[in-house]
Amino acid sequence: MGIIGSAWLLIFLGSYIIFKLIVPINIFPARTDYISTFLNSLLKVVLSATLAFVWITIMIKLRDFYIKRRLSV
Amino acid sequence: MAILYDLVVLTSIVFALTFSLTYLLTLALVKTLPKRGSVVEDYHKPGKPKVAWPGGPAILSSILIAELILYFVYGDLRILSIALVTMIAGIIGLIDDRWRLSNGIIKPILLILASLPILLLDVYVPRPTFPIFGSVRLHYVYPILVLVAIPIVSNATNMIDVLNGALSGFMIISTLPLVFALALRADYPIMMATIPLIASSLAFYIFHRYPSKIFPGDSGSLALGAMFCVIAIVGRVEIVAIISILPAILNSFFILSSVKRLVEHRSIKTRPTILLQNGQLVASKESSAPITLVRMILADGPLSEREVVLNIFKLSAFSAFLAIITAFLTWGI
Repeated sequence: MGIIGSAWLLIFLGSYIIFKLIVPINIFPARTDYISTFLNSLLKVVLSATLAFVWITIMIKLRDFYIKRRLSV
Repeated sequence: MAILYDLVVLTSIVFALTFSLTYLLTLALVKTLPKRGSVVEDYHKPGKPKVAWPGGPAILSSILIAELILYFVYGDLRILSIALVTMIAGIIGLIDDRWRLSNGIIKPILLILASLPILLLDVYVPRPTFPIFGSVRLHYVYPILVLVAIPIVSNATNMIDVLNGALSGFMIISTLPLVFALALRADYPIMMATIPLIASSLAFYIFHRYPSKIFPGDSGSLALGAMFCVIAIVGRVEIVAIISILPAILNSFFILSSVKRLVEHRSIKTRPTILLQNGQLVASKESSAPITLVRMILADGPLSEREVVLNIFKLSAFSAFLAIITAFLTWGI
């Protein structure tokens, strides 16, 4: 149940970070050209992908902590 | 008050119809399948007894009949999409039951076809609602998520179908928060369309519980998973559904991350659990064995199959509880 509870909290936290912190990012507030827009979007994609990678890594570490300690694998 | 009364009456009729159909069709399959040699071994019992398989057609037929009746009553295209998605996923499962798709990547790719009715009928709203901070616009990403969601959830339910009664019992518990969330949203047509999923799973559970008289096969597990997913999408209760089905998603995530590739579960050589002579199951200590939910449950010591399934139900109930909290946190946003 600990892993499920942790996953639940991480889903809340991850979705908050993506939609409330990453999505509103605008590193070129005064510019509206295509390159600025593209770079802005690219940054958001990279940050979101990094967050997803961190989420997956945390879940794998939790899995390893739970099972490998008990099974001595 | 009159609306509530109509709702209760219709719910009762739909539930009774689906339950009865599934029960009678499954009973017929339990009697006829072994005579036709359509049986598989129950690996988790001494002597590996033969069990009738697949019971999916009974589940699929009764759900489709109920959904088509509900489509006739409500005229809601979303209900038609539920029927179509479930039917396509069930047919893919039947193909796998009959011809054994050995390559692990083929089934997920075929299951993308099951997602198409949602997109073609345009019954989705690309604004999922998250707890606390509300809905977000995903106009470009959402259709892609729909395409991958059905294969992911269907495969997740397929992978949890490993022990007697696990899948059918799990689906009953996991679907209850969806009904609750849809009632909170006052989306009564889709709430009604969810009833056949519970009724059919409950009727099938009577035969599937320990000791199983019939296994659902991929036709059953893929259909149930796909139906769960499409209800979540068209009913706009995506986040509640994800939380509710977390044990199955985590199970498939752990398997994939330990095996490190998409593989048909029948082709995994090292089994995650070992059957003891006294009938109990124990977790394998082989490092090459996949890490599964069952193996994690058994990590604390040997248990009987019935006890392992009970633990799966407890995890499912906990997820359902968290899903109901999530439904409250998204209510009215």
